[in-house]
Amino acid sequence: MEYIVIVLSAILVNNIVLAQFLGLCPFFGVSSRISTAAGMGGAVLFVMTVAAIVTYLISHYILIPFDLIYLRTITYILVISSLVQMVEIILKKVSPPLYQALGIFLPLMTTNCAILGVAILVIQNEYTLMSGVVFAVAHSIGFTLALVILAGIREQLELVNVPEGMKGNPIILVAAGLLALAFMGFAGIV
Amino acid sequence: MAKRESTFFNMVLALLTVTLVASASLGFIYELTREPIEMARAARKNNAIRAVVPDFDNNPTEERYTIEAAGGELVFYPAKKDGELVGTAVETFTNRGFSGTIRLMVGLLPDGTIHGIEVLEHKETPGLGDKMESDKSDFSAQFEGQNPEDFRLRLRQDGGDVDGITATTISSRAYCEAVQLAFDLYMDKDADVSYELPSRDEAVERVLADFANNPLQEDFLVMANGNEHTVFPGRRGRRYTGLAVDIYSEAGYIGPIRLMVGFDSEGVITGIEVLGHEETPGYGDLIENARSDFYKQFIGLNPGEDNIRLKEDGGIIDNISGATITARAYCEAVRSAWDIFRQAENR
Amino acid sequence: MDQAKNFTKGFIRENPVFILMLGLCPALGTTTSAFNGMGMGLATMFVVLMSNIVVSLIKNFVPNKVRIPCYIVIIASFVTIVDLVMAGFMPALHEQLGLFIPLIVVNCFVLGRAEAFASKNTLLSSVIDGTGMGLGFTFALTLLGAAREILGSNAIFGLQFIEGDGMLVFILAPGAFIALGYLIALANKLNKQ
Repeated sequence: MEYIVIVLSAILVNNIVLAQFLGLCPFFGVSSRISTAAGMGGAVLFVMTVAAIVTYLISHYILIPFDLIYLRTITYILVISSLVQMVEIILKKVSPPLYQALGIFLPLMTTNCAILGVAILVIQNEYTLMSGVVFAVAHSIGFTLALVILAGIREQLELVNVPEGMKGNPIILVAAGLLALAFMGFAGIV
Repeated sequence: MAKRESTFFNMVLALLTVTLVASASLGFIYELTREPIEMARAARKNNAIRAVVPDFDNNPTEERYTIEAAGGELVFYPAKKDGELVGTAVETFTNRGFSGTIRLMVGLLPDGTIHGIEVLEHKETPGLGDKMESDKSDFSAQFEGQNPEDFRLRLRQDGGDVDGITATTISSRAYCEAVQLAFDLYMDKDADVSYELPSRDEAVERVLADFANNPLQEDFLVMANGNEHTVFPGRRGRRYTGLAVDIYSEAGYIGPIRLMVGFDSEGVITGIEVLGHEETPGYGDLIENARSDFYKQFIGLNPGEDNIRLKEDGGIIDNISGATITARAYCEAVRSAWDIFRQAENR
Repeated sequence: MDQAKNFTKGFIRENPVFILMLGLCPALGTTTSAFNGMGMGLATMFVVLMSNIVVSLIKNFVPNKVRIPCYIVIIASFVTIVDLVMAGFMPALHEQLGLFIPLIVVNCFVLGRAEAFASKNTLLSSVIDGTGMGLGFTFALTLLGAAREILGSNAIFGLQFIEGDGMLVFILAPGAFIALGYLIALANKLNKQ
């Protein structure tokens, strides 16, 4: 039951992009095509889950016992950036097809605040390891959902005659705003 | 200076220097800001307590106790003036808000009348649900001066006396629920109340007045009246400053009463904490420091000179009405603690 | 390089939020009021300025291959300093900004300035660049915050000028996207002239 609440809340009610404003750079940067959007979503799912597990272990077995919580930001960001590098190297060796699909998105992951944000939230909400993993997976699904929907809207927008001043980023932001408005309809279901 | 080559040595050197300097300076800043951060945290809670109860002169945070209920715990902060309870600030909560948990600080007078309510935390919709905050609308003002005994804590549409916030039924309903929970637990003296007694280690630190060592690591055993008792010496440098004695009395009304009694080096009592007892709720449990000032009359007494007995037994201690046997056992435990103190002195 | 131009470029011409679309997460997440936007902007400005100074000072000491990790450590340290100092001395604002303070570290705009500017320029230029860009970011966040506060709660910097509720949607998430969209359209128009 607890997991269901976490999943519904993360995907629909408190969508990481549309309600919590995390991961906006890739949200606007890689949402021009549905296929790339889905690729990015896959990479986020992978890195976010691994990062949540690793940072959870570091917090509970190193930072908290030694009273070093104030080093949290610095350790997390270092761990996440080295993790991304490692994933890239391992993926290249172990699964070239997967690397082909996700490879170009991996370097973008370090500065994706959704990854660091979720890692911090897992600790702040005092989740157990299992709940933390569910939380991370659900958030990356929420991220992918928002990304793919926006990419779909943008593909349609190309065919529409947009007023001169609103071309480019402004109309995309307004579209994202309307999408966020639609997601607000889910508020209160959990 | 020319740019350094990316040799292995240079890379390790650069990374090591940067991380060392960074973590050292962070440790320094952390030490500098630790106290202000703690004070800011305490001030926030104290402000909320101050806002909901009448004037007080004690430290309610120090005397707080908790009751587990509704899948969480409520914290009670007793506010006292001149030793008399003037109100209790109850930190209560509900998970049934529109967007999750709502935490309130509800101030109750001793008879249960609501004196004031402040919102500590909520995630409700800005502009709608957040009107429950006292500075955003008059919603919370309608509770002031009302006693939930005859003021029904339900919305009007649910048959109660509360005017809800327009278009915010769920938040208003949750708010009432949290207040009701605070009131119920406060009034229900027979509820399964688990006041938080201090642990043995906490008690040692509280009852000793002056020490710089870690008394917990220097504990030793003393034989007295046929039993072994653990004692914890306080020291400052090599100077001996006091002793905490872990003691119990079998003479309680229902079961044994276990105390931690602290003495200074002269044998004057510096503090007492109850570690455990099974006495009657509402009567015998008033020996707990959080529930009454019974313990305070012992502080500053020297059992070698003062007669630690109830007044009706020829001593100087005021009884707890309705709990004579418990109070008598408490005195007995304090006297045995002093015997142990003297035994330990001789070592 | 013309230092005056270096200083003013951050406001409109190379504004990190309106033109470069960097640092959008805090720009949208913290701008429910002009004051919050300004607080976030100033916190970020401190980090940009300080990391620009340090990066510019040590640029020759750090070998090329490990420069990014070094920059990240430097930025993360200043972020932690901001986090701790704010928690101690401005607890109310610290709570409002919450998660977004540690997240300054992944604000692409901060690392971008260190990598693209401070690592290649003199100390003075880096200071001016950091201040200018930081003020530009603060300007953008304050403007967005003010716009949302005026429309959403009929107030500016907490001062109510019309009784009653505003258009709530601008305080909520959707309004953030829409308000920023229109401000960007406005900035584009100004840039063209």
